[in-house]
Amino acid sequence: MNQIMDLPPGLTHYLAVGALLFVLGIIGFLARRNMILMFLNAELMIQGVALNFVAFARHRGNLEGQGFVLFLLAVAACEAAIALALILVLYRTQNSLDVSLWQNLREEGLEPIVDEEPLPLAPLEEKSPSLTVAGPGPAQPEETSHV
Amino acid sequence: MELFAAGQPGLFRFEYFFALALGALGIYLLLPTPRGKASVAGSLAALGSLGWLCFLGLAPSGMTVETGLFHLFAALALVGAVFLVTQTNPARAALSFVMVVISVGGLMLLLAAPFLMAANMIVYAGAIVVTFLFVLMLAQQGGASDADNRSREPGLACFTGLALSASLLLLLQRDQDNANLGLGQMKGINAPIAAVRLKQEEPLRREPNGRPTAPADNTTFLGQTLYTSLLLPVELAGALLLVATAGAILIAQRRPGTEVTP
Repeated sequence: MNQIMDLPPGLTHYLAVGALLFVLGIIGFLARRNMILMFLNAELMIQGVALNFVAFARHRGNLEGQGFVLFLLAVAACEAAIALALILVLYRTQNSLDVSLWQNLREEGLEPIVDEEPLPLAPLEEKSPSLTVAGPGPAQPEETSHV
Repeated sequence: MELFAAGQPGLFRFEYFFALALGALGIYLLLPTPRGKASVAGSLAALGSLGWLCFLGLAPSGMTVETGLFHLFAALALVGAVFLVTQTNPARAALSFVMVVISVGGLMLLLAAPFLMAANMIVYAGAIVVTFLFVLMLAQQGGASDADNRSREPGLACFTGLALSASLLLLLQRDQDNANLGLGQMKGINAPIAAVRLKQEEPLRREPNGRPTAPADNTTFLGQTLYTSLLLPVELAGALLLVATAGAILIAQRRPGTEVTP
């Protein structure tokens, strides 16, 4: 029993962590409205998948899984470049990163999603009164080295 | 050591479902809404769910250094992921993604993949996140906006996550049950291991737990794999990167006469 207790974490533990990361990425991708955050969440999902690949590579004792993660990195970099270019174009047309502004791309026959609750207004900042500066200016620290 | 305590095969033990449901509730509470978010209750629920899952056996229960580091990195990765999902400020979300990447790098080190750890950190934490931050600063100079202070269907999203995570854990558990019964081909960590291809002339050594030893010279062997059996995919990946670069430049280019007016 003692020997069993001292075993290092096995394949399934890493798979469970990878699965939870993937699920969190999916939740974020579905729930967030900022396009950049949606793509960050997609990258989070890729992290979970990469962890799975590395865990399987360790489990099987070969390096094919690790090689696959390198390709995953390359594809993720391509995806980030294209996605950011698209986001820039979309931002230029709508002047916002909100993905809900593109609801006219939705499926035919679906109602658009309308926000019922208004956002709370930001509290107005009261301008603090300021006086004109009078008198001699504060002493500047003297330079100690002249190198 | 077993992830799931031995039980009747094919039956999902509902403690896991309840723990995951608690986590989903926590994330639902943490997601930004116009009313502000219930930070304290949400964090408590999410942390409680994580602790419950650990208690149920989702975390290994050894006293070795490796187990301790696994706990540390796994917890950091999951907490960072929750931050990333629930942050209102996108710049902070990008920084918590860096935390996730670093923790996953730690897990990769535990899995004997130091080269991937470095590559992952350089590409993600170094390049991708910085590019995201650049675009963020380019596009969002007015601070937080409507898009950040609202969620789109948070309840449905959390339900989707709950369903997916429960089914994934169910799959893992069924595999473990089959392994315990001696069904199936994989038997947990004691699975019969395919011989290490690159070192076939050497006798395959095993660690005490039956796991094959990984070559210490990870980078060399990874390079050999890449440029022998995976040569064609490497070339294709290079071509893909080139095409993606050209495509990104072409898409983001501002050409006169093609300006789209909203």
